[in-house]
Amino acid sequence: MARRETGRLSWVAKKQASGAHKRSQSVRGMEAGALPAGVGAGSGAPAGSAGYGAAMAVAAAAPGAQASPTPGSTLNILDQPLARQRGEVSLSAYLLLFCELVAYSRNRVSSVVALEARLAAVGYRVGERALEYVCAKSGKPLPRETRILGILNFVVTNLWRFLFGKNADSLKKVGNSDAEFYIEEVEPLVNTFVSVPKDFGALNCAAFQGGIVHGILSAAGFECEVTTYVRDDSSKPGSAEVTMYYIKFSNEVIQRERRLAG
Amino acid sequence: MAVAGLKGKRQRVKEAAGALSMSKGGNMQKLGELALQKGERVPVELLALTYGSLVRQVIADYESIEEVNKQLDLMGYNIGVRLADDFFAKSGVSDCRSFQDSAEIVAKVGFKMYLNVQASVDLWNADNTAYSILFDENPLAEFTELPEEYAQLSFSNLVCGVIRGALEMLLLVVKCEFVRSTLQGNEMNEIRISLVEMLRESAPEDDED
Repeated sequence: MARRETGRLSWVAKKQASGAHKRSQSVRGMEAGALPAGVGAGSGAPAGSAGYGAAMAVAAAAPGAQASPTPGSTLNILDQPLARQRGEVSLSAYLLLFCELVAYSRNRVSSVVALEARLAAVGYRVGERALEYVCAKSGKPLPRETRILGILNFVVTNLWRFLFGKNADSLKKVGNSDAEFYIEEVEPLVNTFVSVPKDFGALNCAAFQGGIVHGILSAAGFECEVTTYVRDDSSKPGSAEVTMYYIKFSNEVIQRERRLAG
Repeated sequence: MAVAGLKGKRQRVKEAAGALSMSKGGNMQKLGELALQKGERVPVELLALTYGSLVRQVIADYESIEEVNKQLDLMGYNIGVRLADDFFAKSGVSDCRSFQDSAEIVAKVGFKMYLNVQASVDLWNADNTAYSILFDENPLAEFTELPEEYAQLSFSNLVCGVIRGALEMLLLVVKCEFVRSTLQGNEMNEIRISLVEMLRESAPEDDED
């Protein structure tokens, strides 16, 4: 599947290769997806562009657009199968990197809110690339999700399982609103070794994961806002703190949802 | 998850160029593999995407590529300082008595244990104060290509910082840099490490009376 996809995608890439990408930022490959997502999703994501097909095509177009295959490498990065088995690295390595990411960000902001926003921004770029990868990795072609519940289920099961090895703990709807949902998680992976000093108040480093959720929803054509909270759950003495990713979809998404519901 | 797949799969090991001193390093490699399997793991992709996003952030924060390289190295150094403890607690490596020992340990155990990468030590200089670590798969740079204007970016410079920081905890001050990388079109990655100074262990000055 991946092979066929990349074939088609690099064709798209060639079509767009005629410039316009000179301003492309930094690093290409999956990395460069940020550029097109900024273009596609940032502009309000019209209902028609929802779904993976669109997202994948654009995401891959940018790297291809500048592709002058690196001398010496056998396969262009676009021709390498996305779903190939890549193995695993140690959790300590990942969490040490994450701690350093927090430390780096902390030294460049003046408030807890700004720190969370920075972490979320880094997570956002992970999320918008993760969509393509999670789809390719699932083995069989996934149907394109166009409905809110469908995409949210995809996030709490497929995305969570691929990135963190388990499902998210729960997905809930806010009482009387069609646009608001939240995902709960007791032990976010990135918080495993994080202890928040008192003077940092309600800092929750899982804002990074909230950013991932935001990124993947945007890439799939579901514009939304994602906020990450800590909720004290005094009813359960064992696990006092629960992380909540609160998701509020934008008006276009809600209108589309109503239309699709018929 | 990918755990099951990993076990069944033969590691894609392409031998790095040059004669490998496998007889000596074989044991070390096993230590690294063991430590990796014992601990918890995350998929390579999560690390690669997070690191890529982090590098972009640093690029956005600093104007010159040199400064970006420096920041990545610095972040790596901070990681390395903490990693040294973690390493000796989990790896099963008990002693590291010389600069030559440290080379084998970093390449064979460290790279395997943390990054699941098969690396080798080679290209020692005449007086044994500099060597290269060679490896071809770089999990940090998975999914990455460098555009031409970033040709000077040492994308995985973080790794150099980690090595520098960890070795400094062993009282070895080293200089560490990428000389070849697959991102820049070479067929393998090479990190050159040269010894600058061996610190002497001394009691901390402000020790209690």
